[in-house]
Amino acid sequence: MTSFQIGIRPNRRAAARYIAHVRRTLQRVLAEEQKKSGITQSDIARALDIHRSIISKELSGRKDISLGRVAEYAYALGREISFNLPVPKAAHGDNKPVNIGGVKIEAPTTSSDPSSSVEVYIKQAPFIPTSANA
Amino acid sequence: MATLVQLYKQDQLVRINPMLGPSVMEERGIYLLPNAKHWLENTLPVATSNWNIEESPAEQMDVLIEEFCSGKPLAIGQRFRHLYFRKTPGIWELKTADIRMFGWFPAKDRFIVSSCDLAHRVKEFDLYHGYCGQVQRDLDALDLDPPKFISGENPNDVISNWHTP
Repeated sequence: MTSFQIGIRPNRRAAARYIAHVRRTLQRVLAEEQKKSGITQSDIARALDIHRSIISKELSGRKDISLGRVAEYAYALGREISFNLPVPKAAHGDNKPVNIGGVKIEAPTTSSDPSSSVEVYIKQAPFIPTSANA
Repeated sequence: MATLVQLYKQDQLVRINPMLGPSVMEERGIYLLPNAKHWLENTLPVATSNWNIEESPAEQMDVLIEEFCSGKPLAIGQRFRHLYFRKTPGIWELKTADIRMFGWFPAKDRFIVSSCDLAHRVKEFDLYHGYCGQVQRDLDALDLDPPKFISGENPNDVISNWHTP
């Protein structure tokens, strides 16, 4: 019985999985807001003053997405962003940390998304008009 | 004739280890035929992205495998889609921005990979037809208990938890 695993460094595995997690979250929230208010990618493109194709590429993984852009998407979708770096807690029976080249690598255990010890939530928030955004 | 598990135990199929986190259940499985394994071992590690994005093809593959095997919702069209080939139903691809994996579903949430290639090569050299033919040949040759594949193009029949992006 043979198993095969993709050979990439654990730090890059964590990075790539986290980026994918953010994209999936944005896609899910966009779908929720589309259902609720009918907002489209075109509406978001207008709000951010970018071409709709950029949104399509960023959300589908064909273009890098920056932290600033994530915040812009959250703004356009009427959501807040919560960013946290919890300390992983080891549970009974968890895989033990692996030493690779003298660097201790610990698998994050607190998040349902194992790719990160960073939990990002995009929360629902009421849109509060201010003089800046009215 | 043999079941999927028996073929895996006989080393006719290689199971992908998705390297899931300690509390994550493996809800779907991917199995490799020799050609696909060879590509993942030799071509994937040195491949570069044609989209000039941060994630290398190897990292994209890891993400795809993690999403698939952990049971995360998969976007049809972006992550998987049905391929039409000579009116033969049942050939599918799993995909990322830079990767295409061709194969079939012998059971729901179980995918056998016949071949892999870089997306730009597949498009540039119009290789879809060839890879679909290879899937058909591999499917016919594999000594799997019938039914050997899930027929049809309905995503509900092959993957649980999918969505339209």
